[in-house]
This record gives sequence, structure tokens and C-alpha cells, in this order.
Amino acid sequence: MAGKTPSEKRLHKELISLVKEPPPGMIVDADQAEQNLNTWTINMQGAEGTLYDGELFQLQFKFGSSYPFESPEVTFVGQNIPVHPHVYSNGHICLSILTDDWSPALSVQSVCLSIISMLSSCKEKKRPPDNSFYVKTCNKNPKKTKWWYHDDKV
Amino acid sequence: MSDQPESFMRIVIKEFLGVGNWRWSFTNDRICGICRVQFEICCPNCDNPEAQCPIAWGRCSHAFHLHCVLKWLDTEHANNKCPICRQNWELRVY
Repeated sequence: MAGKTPSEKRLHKELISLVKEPPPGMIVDADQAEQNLNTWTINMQGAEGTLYDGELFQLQFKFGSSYPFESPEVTFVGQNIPVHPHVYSNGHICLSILTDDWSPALSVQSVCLSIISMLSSCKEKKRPPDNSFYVKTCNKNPKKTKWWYHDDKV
Repeated sequence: MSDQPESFMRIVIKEFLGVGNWRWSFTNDRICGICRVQFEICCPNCDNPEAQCPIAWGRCSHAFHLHCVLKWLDTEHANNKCPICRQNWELRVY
């Protein structure tokens, strides 16, 4: 692993374990990730018995050079953005561990599990109340948004 | 001596090389929760494998490479919290 930066070393370890033992319903695009360790795409299936059962989603992770000391930029991408009170129609996710509550002990796997669990506990599919305003005015990078974490019920 | 079978081979050891294996026993975790490298190996910020890369124990019982946890505590979002349990990070001193 000579020549790799500390962040690349950790990402490489995470990639190997995610390919070997993926959490249920999640597949990382390993070829893409190996070509560019700083951008990963995870294919995620809505969990059985939830409002998202049978749906397919794509999560994109972008890592900065100081990962894991800094959180990754995580957004839903592709055709199907889950309709959820914490997911904006542009794919941005309002989830505190992605900004203020990030910890370097978290990982791609633990973030994916948090997101699937956030989807699974949803009782009613709807967009955040401020969706149209936010999507028109926000920065492309969700980490630039000053998130207001108000609701931890869903 | 006379009981030994005739085929018994006598050898003389002229020298031997001992090989030791060690590991920390302070925690069930084998790897640093920040860099994911074994505690017996230096953190990825040490470029020399022989580097002195000490372990830091917190009062909350979590352990990390000292270099890793210091780098975390230096960031804007750390707020002096342990990366694993989010309690206040206090170095345990022996």
C-alpha cells in the first residue's frame, strides 16, 4: 500500500470489507470505486416490509482528502430519489451524522445503515416542507447547508 | 541412558533464534477506531514503520493511536468528544 495517503488507506480497507461483507440490500460499485477512491456509488434496496420495499436507490459518497476526520458528502443520485421528509428532491439528506455529529469512528457502512434505517422508520412518504425553496437556493454541496435538525422521529 | 532405543539421534543445539509475538491486552478492539489499523502497527500518519506511535486510552475506556485521536480533537466538529461514545475525551494517565 505504499504511496497511498492515510485517507486512501482507510478507504481501501473499507472498500474491501464492504465488498466482502455487504450489509443486506447494499452493493458498492467496486470497479468505479477502485478507479477513483474518492467517489463511490452504493446501490441500495428499500427494506422489505417498509414503505420503500421493492424500490432501488443510488447513494453517492464523495470523500475529501482529510477523511475520516471530515464527513463524506453523501447524496441520493439517479432516477429514483426516495420521497421522505428528510430527503430533498435534489438528493440532499438532512441527517446530523453527515455534518455536525460526524465522528471518524463512523464509516461508509454505518452511514448506509443509518440512511436505510431512516427510510425504514418512515410512516408517510412526503418531501420536506421547505423542499421547493431549498432545492432552488441551496449550494450543490449539502455540507455547505446550515442544517437545522428539528425532528428525530422519522 | 541405556533405555534409549538405538535409533535415538543425539543432536547438539549450537544456537537458536527466538521469535516473539506480542499484542496489547487492554481492549477487545484490535484496531484503532479512527484509522482501522491494528494497535501493534503505527498509524498511517507515521511514515516510518519503526516510528514510536503510542496508544492513547480515554477515561471512557476507548483507545486510539495517540496521533489519530489528537488529529480528531484538533478538528472543528470534535468538541473534545470521544469518536466512539461521544463522552468528553479525557486521557487516562497511568
